[in-house]
Amino acid sequence: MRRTSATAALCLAGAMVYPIFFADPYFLHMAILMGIYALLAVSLNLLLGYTGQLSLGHAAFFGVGAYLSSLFHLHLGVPLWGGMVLAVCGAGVLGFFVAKLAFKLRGAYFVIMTIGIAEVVKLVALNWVDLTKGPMGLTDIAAPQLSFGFITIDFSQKVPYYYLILLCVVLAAVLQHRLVNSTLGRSFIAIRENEDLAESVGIDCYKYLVIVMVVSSSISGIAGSLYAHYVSFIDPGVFAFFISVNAVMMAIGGGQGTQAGPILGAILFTLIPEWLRVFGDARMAVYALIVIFIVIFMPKGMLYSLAQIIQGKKNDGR
Amino acid sequence: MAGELLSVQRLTVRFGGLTAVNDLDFSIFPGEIVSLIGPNGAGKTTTFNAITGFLRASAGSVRFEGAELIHLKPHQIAEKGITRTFQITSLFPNLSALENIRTGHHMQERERFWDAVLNTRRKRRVEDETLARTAEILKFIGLEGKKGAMAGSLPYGDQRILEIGVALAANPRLLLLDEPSAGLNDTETQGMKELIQKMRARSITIFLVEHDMKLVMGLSDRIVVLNFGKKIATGTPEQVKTNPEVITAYLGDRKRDAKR
Repeated sequence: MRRTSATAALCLAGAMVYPIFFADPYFLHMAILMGIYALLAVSLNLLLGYTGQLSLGHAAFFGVGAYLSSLFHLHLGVPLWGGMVLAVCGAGVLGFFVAKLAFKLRGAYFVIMTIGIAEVVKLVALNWVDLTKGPMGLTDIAAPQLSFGFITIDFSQKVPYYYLILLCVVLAAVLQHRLVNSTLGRSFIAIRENEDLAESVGIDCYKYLVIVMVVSSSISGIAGSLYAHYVSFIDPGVFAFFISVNAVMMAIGGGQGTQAGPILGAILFTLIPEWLRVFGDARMAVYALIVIFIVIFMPKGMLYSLAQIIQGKKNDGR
Repeated sequence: MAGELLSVQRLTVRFGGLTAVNDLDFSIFPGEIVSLIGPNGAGKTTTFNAITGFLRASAGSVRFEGAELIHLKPHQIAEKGITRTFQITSLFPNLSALENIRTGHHMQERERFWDAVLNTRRKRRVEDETLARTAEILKFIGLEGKKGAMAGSLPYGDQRILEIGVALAANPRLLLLDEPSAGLNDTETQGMKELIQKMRARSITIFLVEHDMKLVMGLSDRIVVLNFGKKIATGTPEQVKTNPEVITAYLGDRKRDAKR
């Protein structure tokens, strides 16, 4: 337990000083993307890793967070921070209704439902041209600012934005940690492990699935909102199926049902395609092979395998 | 009749054309051990599922302390004070024995979302209470030495006992046990019998489905016998043992068979 906390503190310290050693915009850009994906992976992990329900539609919440955040600002002139908060609430409300509907179903039926919902939301963004400009997308999405009297932090700069994202990832990780180690979290795990038994000891599975979905979709909404204000341009591509799949891959590849696994997954699955640029056109094929390799040889996720390797080395040293 | 804990009236469960439970009436009084027996396919587990809300009854009523249970969901019925075990061993396999029981304790934990998020004093207090109660139950069922073991990797006999521990953690007044001794050897069955008696001594009413007749006869205050979904007899073990209809249901009709 203490060693886990120490490792977490060390990782956080590393993340804090990262911009000092990697001041290059490219490295900062990668780190920001990792952070956004980490939020998405953590959000999915709460649902998939702890309650065992696979959603292939989390791009819906990501996209809704991105669009709402931008629209509140561009159309209604809501202050940026307020718009971001409203966007997160909006994603959470969508999550609530999706959960109410979709958790009447389980297994493959639930998965299909989540895919369907994401497609519906995407079509709305694509066809409600008056509001969303359809495939043209929304441009000139400003980055927020923070003023403390004489000092103003401009989040259109990469370094401040990096720290904003880092703060959100840390908050999401703390939220996840608190939830998992609570009555609520044990209910989530009970649903994953044995839903009938959970019901028989008085756990209202439907209610807890709705709660987890609201939390999860809100975190995805934050990720979407942060993405929009970072790239300053969004189109219906934010609802793309591959975003949902990426989140699932990061959660599972990193280690579903673990607290750090999805973050590790987000980092590695963002880095690996970059490293593979040396392969030129074969890049995505090699990437696919690596993913297959990870799924076959590290079924419990990279975090687990990493821990095994570290512990194995310790044992050899004795 | 007044004073009954559970009263089942005209309970009927149909699956399409098949009537699995037909017009079943019986009552359970506080502090009793009542067994439900019958040949395979008689509708015993179906009755259990209908009482605990896992199956919708087609007709009839199930009252617990006077309150109607039909149309309630399983978790609502658990909140009223009825928990159950399952015929096929049913645990949270990837959690430790301790975590299994702790999960069973869910309903007693009044912890809100914000308590969890903000790690409030109330949350920590609830956690301490839960751990104390969990330890007590582990001791009661005799698994305190194995509290760290994964439920799925425990020996089968211990798994069956742990199931009861999970159900006990939910603090039931009526406990439904679906074939608790299935697959157990003689020593383990004896241990199970003692555990059931110990629970009754703690004023938990027990309703049992069981195939082991020695266990049923040794434990039960009253027995309800089902055959093809219908109640064919009810009474003390002595009465049931000598009931001709029960003997026919279990052993076949000697005269009819002889004629063939």
